[in-house]
Amino acid sequence: MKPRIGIARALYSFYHFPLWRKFFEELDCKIVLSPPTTRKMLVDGVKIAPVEICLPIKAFLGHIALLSKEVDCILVPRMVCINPHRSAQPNKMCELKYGCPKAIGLPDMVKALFDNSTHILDLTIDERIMDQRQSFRKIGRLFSANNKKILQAWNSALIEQERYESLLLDGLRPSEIFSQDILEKNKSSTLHSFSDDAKYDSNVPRKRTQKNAEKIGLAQIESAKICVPKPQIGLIGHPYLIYDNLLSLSLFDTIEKLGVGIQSVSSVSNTTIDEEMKQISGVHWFYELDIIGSTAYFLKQKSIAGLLFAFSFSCGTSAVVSEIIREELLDFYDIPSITILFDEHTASAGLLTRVESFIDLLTRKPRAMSRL
Amino acid sequence: MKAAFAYMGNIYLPLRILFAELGIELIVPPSPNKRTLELGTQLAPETMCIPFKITLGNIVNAMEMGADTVMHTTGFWSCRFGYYGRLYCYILKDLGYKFHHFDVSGSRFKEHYQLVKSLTKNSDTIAFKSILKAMYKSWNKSNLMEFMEQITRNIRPFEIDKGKATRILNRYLKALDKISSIKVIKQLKKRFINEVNSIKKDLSRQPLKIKIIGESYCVIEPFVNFNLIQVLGENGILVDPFLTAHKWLGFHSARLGNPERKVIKKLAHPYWKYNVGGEDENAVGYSLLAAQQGYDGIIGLHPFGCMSSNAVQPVLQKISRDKNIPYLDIGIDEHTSETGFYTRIDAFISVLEKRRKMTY
Repeated sequence: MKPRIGIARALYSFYHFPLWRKFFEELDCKIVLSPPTTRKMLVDGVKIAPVEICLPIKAFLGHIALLSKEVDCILVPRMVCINPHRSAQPNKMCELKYGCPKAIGLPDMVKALFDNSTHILDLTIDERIMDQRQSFRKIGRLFSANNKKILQAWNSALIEQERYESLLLDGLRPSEIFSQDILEKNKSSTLHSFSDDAKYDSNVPRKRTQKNAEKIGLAQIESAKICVPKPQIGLIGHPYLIYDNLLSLSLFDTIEKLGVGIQSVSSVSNTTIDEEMKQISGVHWFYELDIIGSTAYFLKQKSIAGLLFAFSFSCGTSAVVSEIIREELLDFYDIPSITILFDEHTASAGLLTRVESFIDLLTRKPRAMSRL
Repeated sequence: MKAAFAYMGNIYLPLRILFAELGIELIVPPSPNKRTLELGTQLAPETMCIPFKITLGNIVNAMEMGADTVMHTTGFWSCRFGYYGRLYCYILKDLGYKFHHFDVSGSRFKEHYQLVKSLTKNSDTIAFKSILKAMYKSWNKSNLMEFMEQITRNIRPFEIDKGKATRILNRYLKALDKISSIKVIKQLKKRFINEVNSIKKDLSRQPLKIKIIGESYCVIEPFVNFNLIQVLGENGILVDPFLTAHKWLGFHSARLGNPERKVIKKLAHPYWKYNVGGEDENAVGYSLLAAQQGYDGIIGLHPFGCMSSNAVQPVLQKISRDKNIPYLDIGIDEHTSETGFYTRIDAFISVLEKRRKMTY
């Protein structure tokens, strides 16, 4: 009888789910992924969670509440410290990056909120003490005594994660990849052979995403027979917010229906992010590097007419990151931007009004047109 | 060099002499008040925590009074406290101030030394001597400040003439701020003990014992917590905050270490494994200690939106259930009203009094 491990379709699953799934499946476990967030799950999460905490954590707790009855144990990650340069040892301590406080305390929070019948599998990633392979080996020992098998599982998991990230660069959304098992179908499109020290970077060139987006835009123009170029906006926010249809109130679809193309944070490769982050020093939150790096990248693209930042209300790190972006990036470019805060009380009517007026601004403003 | 300074309780007392001995004038702005908060709220990002807004208001006031340097710490750990300095600099630059900024975090000791050397005629001997002397004097002052504050807190529930201990404390703190000789500090301590012994007390009272935990700024700075420690004390309750200005300097700034900290860390570990900033590990550890030591209740104060405090709330509530000790948590921001705050405190105290009657 295979042990059933529950993984919430929330928070850090949007970054790391394929890695986790492949690793545990190779160790003969059955992975149960929760369904996309529903209103009931969010309501349950809001009832349990601390009042002031950010929306994605409330949703995460709702997922855990649903999973706790179905599985033997629930995987709760503890992202303490991560080395962003995966193939090399960091030279200095300040090159290491950290999760936000809630990421670090997540298993303790879940243990305090749920009773002893819910078993938590605490996956601690703290690269100050041991690298990720060793952390996974430690947790793998709970399921298998065979070290070679655990190492093979880790290697396969890394390949799976690479494929996932290359599909994200192509413009696919995480939920599509999770549910359709696209990774299986795309096995033949491995980009390079795996080695122990492989970087997570994909070899997919930046231009491929650009061309895709422009192709779609041109096709729509031809079908509509209107000579108005389709504007593109950069959508910046954590994947666990913007790709969750309920939490973001279908933000992606809302924007696309208004005739605008989207390039989101996931469409920027890790190498590009690393390159852009060389100019901004002193940011040590791992999950914010994508946000700042992709903003810096989008600002340089002539095809991007405006930036839409989607943050959660009470997201502590975004208060600081917004200021850094404003002072060190936005102030140097003449580009419209809007920040929208999401919480459990955000209504779709209000969101639509704001998005519509922003897009109106982009299509009417002469400067915006000249960037198209 | 005139350094701008932000308030946190009486921390200006030891810091003023520390910097004066090193040749740096500390510009101390008016203590936090409604205007400081309004100024800080206007200038700061909306969702930043209240300590940031008040300290920003203080620093802008100090700049208006002629300061030319902003002192701040940085830190690469999880909480956003390490970014305060960076944000202060952005905001002051936008306001048009010309200033230097100086990072006082421990890892930059070489820079600190160079600065002191430049202020003391570029001599290594003088610089070294100045630093030792400054640390010795400020440590003595800080110790006396802590001693006086602690005695006052312990006497307040028992005094017959309400407010007398506070009046004496305020007088002595003012005097302490002005003196700089170690000998006079020792004399002041003796006079304080004599005066405090002469206060009429009713030692038959059995006050409730409450522990105050939470984020350091909210616990130490009276403006933020609406003077909670004094008000509770004068209403006959023995209050024990887990952190004071002196201890903050010792734990954070000088990292002197303490056997108590190791005990707290060990106690907290089963419930909360990592210290993510915002005094979360201390909050968990001190709650468990308070339960062990038979306190009647725990009050937790934190800024609204503080990431670490939010994350640790479920754990504190579990401790309250497991150890059967009442726990009240209050999130404070610029919209918190004093009336609302004290209504909740009053209700909590009533609960504690009823519990006591039931057990006796």
